[in-house]
Amino acid sequence: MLSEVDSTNPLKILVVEDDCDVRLIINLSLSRVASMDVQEAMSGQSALEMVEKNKFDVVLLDVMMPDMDGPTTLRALRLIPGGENLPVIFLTAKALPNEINRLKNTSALDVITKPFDPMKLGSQIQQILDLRHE
Amino acid sequence: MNEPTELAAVLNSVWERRQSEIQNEVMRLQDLSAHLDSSDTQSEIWNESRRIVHQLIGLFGILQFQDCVLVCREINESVSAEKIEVSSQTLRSEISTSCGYLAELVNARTK
Repeated sequence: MLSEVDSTNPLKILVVEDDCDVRLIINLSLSRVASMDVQEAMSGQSALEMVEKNKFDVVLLDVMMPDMDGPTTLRALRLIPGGENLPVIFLTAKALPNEINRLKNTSALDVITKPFDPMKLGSQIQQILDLRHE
Repeated sequence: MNEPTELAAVLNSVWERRQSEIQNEVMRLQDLSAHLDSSDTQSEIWNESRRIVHQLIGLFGILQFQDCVLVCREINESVSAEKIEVSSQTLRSEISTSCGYLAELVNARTK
């Protein structure tokens, strides 16, 4: 739950999403509701540059983006210093089982489907990370 | 701070700012559906249709327009299939009908 987030050491998350308003809502949701330390990237390329320069606890990665989509970004991320083992969660509007399975068969930790509830997105991410440590 | 109230205010401003763009995208999707060919699902028209549907699901999702999301999901199923079992004519008709319904739902929210 949200209360499990350590306010003195908030989860540092990189949100990669091309739509400015979806980014805005995600940022609001994660920073204000879930007390996470949120940074944004509007493209896969920008995300790669940010991961090279900063340390993140997790990346929330949109799947459908122009130029470099989510799976392509993930593959490139694994090749750069700091990105090899970085937990990545896909965010996608795709909902068909074969599409979700394809995403789960990558090195991503899990998949969150749109639409998401802005009031619960933070706890969803926290649950996925907690399951990883069990 | 009251997060739900703050969130609702932001969502209202997003809707006000983007409603005409969303209406245009729904119309564009409907226009594209008239040209879908079920024998070539990797064409540019198909890819553009998928892009628009995914964008709309994302936007309707954050705006919490669940009825619009449901209609988009139906359209998404049609345009995401790797193998189309129905004729192009049937497919176009189905998507066009769904787009018309979606446009009605969107327009109803602008009044």
